[in-house]
Amino acid sequence: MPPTTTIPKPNQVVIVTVAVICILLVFLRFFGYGHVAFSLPASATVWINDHKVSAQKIRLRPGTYDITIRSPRYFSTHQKVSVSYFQTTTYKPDLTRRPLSAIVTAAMGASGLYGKPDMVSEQWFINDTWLVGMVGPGSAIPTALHYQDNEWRVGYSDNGGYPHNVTNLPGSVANAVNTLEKRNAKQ
Amino acid sequence: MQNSNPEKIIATWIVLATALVICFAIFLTKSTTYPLPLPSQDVAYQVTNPEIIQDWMPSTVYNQVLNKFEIYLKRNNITSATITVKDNKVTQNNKGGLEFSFFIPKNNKTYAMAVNVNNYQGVTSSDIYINGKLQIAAPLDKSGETIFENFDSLSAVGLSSVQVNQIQEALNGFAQDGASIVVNPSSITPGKSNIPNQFVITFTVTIDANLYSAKVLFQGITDSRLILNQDGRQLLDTGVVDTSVNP
Repeated sequence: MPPTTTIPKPNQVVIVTVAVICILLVFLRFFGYGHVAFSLPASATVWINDHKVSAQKIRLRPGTYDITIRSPRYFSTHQKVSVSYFQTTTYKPDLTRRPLSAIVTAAMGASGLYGKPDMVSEQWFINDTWLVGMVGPGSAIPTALHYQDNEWRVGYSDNGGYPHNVTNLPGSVANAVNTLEKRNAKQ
Repeated sequence: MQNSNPEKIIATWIVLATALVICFAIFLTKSTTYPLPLPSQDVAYQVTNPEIIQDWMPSTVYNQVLNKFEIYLKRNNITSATITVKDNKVTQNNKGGLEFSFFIPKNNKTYAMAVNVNNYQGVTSSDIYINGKLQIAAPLDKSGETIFENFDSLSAVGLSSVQVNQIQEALNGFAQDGASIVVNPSSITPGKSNIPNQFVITFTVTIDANLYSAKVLFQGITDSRLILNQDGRQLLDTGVVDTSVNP
């Protein structure tokens, strides 16, 4: 006679365990988040896994995220950050200030004919997205740089093929450029 | 507990298992926030932290750096790679040149990069070195047309596109069909001649494997005169070519 197999009937403990697991999974699905709070300069932008976010504190599913900080005044940082259930991580990276020479380099290039560029008499405008100053080396000339789409570009310069129409600049930037141009003309 | 009704017992187990599967599936419907973008199938080389070098150079130059590095990798039979800017670090030397390292985890190799971004009156060009070697075009086979490299560097020091074309035509006439004609950007030196309003640009040019010294004299934006020397011997003098006079 072949052996018979018996299937045990699920008892109360099994049923309750399954119910608890189900409730827990559904609960975590809808409420299982951690938070990352950013402590950053106002002009900085945050990118999480290549997605730009704007909140100061953000709700994230637990896991590891690539966080990139970009800023007109600071060098970008790129770090992995772990997020756990129901915990708030404060993210305050060590940001390094960009020297003015690095900002001019990013916008105009650096070497070759005249060596390392630099800027003096600098003034910042519009949440640090405009920078006006005298750019050298050599005969320093009034220049306005604009931070747009994560990149410094030349918004005004008398040097060669750059835009040099002050009427296209924001008012405060145009005033600063005009002041530098007048001062430059006197010298 | 007695196994009084096997079918009912099996049904109960099935219900419990189904409930678990459904709840787990619900849980997985949002397993992450901001998922990483999928790697593009069209892009063989990807930089994981591009912003580190993008902070330091115009986007046009960044694209040139990637392009030259990809060509370098292809020549070394590395057809795809994830590239990282090592230590998230770029340094600038006293002359303004940029130095950093690319690291490829796949082959555990580090490549020393150096980039000089030249700017002449708003036009930028770049000299890109990989492991100390300036990246120029490799010699090509003779079946194709003449290949010109780095002539945009001449535009960066004040030559118009008309003048650059005049120089290319002159060099093409001097070289054989299918030659590789490469301007060496780091050799370009602009200056002024003794003749009022006349400018001079000197540079070296490699035609296939041979190195020549070139001198371009010009006054406006439509005229040029190219003089080519090798080992102190003058091999070519085009005279003044002016497209506005002889279109």
